[in-house]
Amino acid sequence: MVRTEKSNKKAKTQKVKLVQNVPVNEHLNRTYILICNDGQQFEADGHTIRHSKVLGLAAKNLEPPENTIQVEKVKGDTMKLVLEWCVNHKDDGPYVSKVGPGLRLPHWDFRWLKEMNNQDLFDLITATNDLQIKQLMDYSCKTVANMAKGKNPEQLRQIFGILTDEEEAELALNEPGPSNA
Amino acid sequence: MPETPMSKQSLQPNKTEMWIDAENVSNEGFVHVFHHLDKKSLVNCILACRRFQKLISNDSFWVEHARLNGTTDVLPPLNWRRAVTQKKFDGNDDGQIQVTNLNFDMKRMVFTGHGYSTITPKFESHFENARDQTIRGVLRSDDFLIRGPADGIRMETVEGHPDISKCFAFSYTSGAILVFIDFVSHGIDPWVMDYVRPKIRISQKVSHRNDCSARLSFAVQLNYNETQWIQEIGMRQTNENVDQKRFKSVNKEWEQWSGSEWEDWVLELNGYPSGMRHLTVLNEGKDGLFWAGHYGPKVANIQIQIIMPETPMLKQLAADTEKCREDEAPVAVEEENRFGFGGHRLRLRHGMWAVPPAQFREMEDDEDE
Repeated sequence: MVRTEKSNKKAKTQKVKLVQNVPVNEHLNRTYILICNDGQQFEADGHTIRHSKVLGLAAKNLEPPENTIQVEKVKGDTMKLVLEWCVNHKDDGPYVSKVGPGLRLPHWDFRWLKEMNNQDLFDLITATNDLQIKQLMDYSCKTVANMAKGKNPEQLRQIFGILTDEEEAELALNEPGPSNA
Repeated sequence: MPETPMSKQSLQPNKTEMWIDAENVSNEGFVHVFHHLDKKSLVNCILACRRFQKLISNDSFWVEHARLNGTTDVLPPLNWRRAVTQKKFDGNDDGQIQVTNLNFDMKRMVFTGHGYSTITPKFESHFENARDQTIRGVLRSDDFLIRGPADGIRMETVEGHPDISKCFAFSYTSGAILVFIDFVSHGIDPWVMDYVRPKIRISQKVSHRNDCSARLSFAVQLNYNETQWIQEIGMRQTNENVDQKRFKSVNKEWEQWSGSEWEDWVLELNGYPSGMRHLTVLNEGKDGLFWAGHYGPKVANIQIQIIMPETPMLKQLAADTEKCREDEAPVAVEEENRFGFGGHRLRLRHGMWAVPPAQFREMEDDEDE
C-alpha cells in the first residue's frame, strides 16, 4: 500500500478518536444519588441505572462532582423495586424489544413480578415508561396481559373495578349526598 | 347519621376479586398492557367499557401495535397516512372532492393482518387435508373456489427453487382456481377505490411439464359485487381484443418438449373506473394430450399488490364505460353439460356466475372433435 499524505492524515485522526472513547463511558463507574418525588433517596452506580434511558442520560449530563439526580415522576417505594430489578440485570447485554408470543420472561423476573402486589405492578409499569426502561416495561406489561388473558368483558370489568352505567347510577343513588341529609 | 357509602366491591358479591381500581391507572398504563394482548383479549377489552374502547379504537393505537408486532406493511405508506391526517391531497385544489371524512381503517388493517400488504391467497391447508393432496370436485369458500374435474387439482412440492415451495397442477380437463378479494374487508377503504384507484398488480409463477403439452388462461377482473364474473366482459375481450380497464387476461399454450422453466406472469389493472369493490383472479388450465394424472400446467405464488401512487392525490370519480347488464343483476340458471358436471356455467353463491373466457375457446375445440 502506498502511503500518501491523505492516508497519513487518516491514521492520525483515527488515533485521536480512540483516545476520546475512554472518557465517554466513564459515567458508568460513578455513584449517583437518586431523589424521588416523596423525598426518599437511593444510591446507585451508573452501571446499574444504565437500563433507564432517562437516568442514563441525566447521569451523562452531570459534571463531576455533581451526582444527584431528581426523579420527579417516581415515588420512593416504586424506585426501590426498579433498582432491585436493575441490580439483578446489571450485567445484561443489549435488549431487543418484543411483543406477542415471542416474548419470554427470564425465571427471576417471572417470579418477581408474579409475587408483586397489583398496585405495585401498575405503579411499576408507569415508572418504567417514565424512566424509559423498555425491558422491564415489556416484562411487567406482559405479566398483566397474561393475567387478563382469557377473561371475558364482564370479568375484566370486575378485576378493574369498572362499573357499567347501571351500576354507577345505583351507586350514586345510594351514596349520602346533601339532599339525603 | 349518614350511611357509609357502598363500595364498588360490595355491589358485586360472589364475583371475581378486584385487582386494582382502574381509576388509579393512567390511560398510558393500560395502553402499554393492551399492546401485549392477543386479538381475542383486545376484543374483550373493547367490549368491557367505553374507556378501553376509546383507547383501543383510535388510529394511533393500531399504528403503534403494527410497529411493535412488525406488521407495518399492512399500513398504507407514511406520506398517505399523513395526507389523510392533515386532509391535504394533490389534485383537489378546487376542493371539489370532500375530504373531511376520508380516513384509513387502521384497526381493520392491523387486526385482519391484510390492509395494503401483499395478498397471498392461502389455500394450501385445504390441499394438505385432501387425499393425495388433490382436490376433486368443487371446493369453495368466501376467498376462493377450486374446481378440480378429471383427476382434480394436485398440490405438489417444488424442489430446489429459491422462491417456490408448493405449486398446483392441473389435470386433463379444464380445472380452475379462482381467488376472490373483497377490498373493504381487507381494510382498503371505499374512497381509495373510488378517488385514488391505485394500481393493482397480480403476479404468479407458471410452469408446465416438459413431456406434455399444456394450456393455461390467467385472467383478472374488477367487480362491484362479490365473486361475480361477467361473461360479457370476458367475451368482449376474446372477440374484439379491446383494451379493457376492468379485465385483463393472458392465455398460453405450450407444446410438448418445449422445456419446463418457471415463468413470471403479471397482470396490472390501472385506470379502472370508480366503484370497484371486488377482484376475481382466475387460473384455468389443462394438459393438451388428455393424459390421466396431473400433466397440466402448474401455478404457484399467486400474489396481489395494491400499489398506492407515490404522491398522495385524489382524482375525480371515473365512470365505467365497460359496465354491462350483468353488473346489475347476475342471473342464476343451472345448465348440465354432456359430462354431467355443472357445465360451462358454474353457479356460485348468490346465484352469480363464473364463465371464464377460456371456456369459449374450449367450446370451439370440442366442436371440432
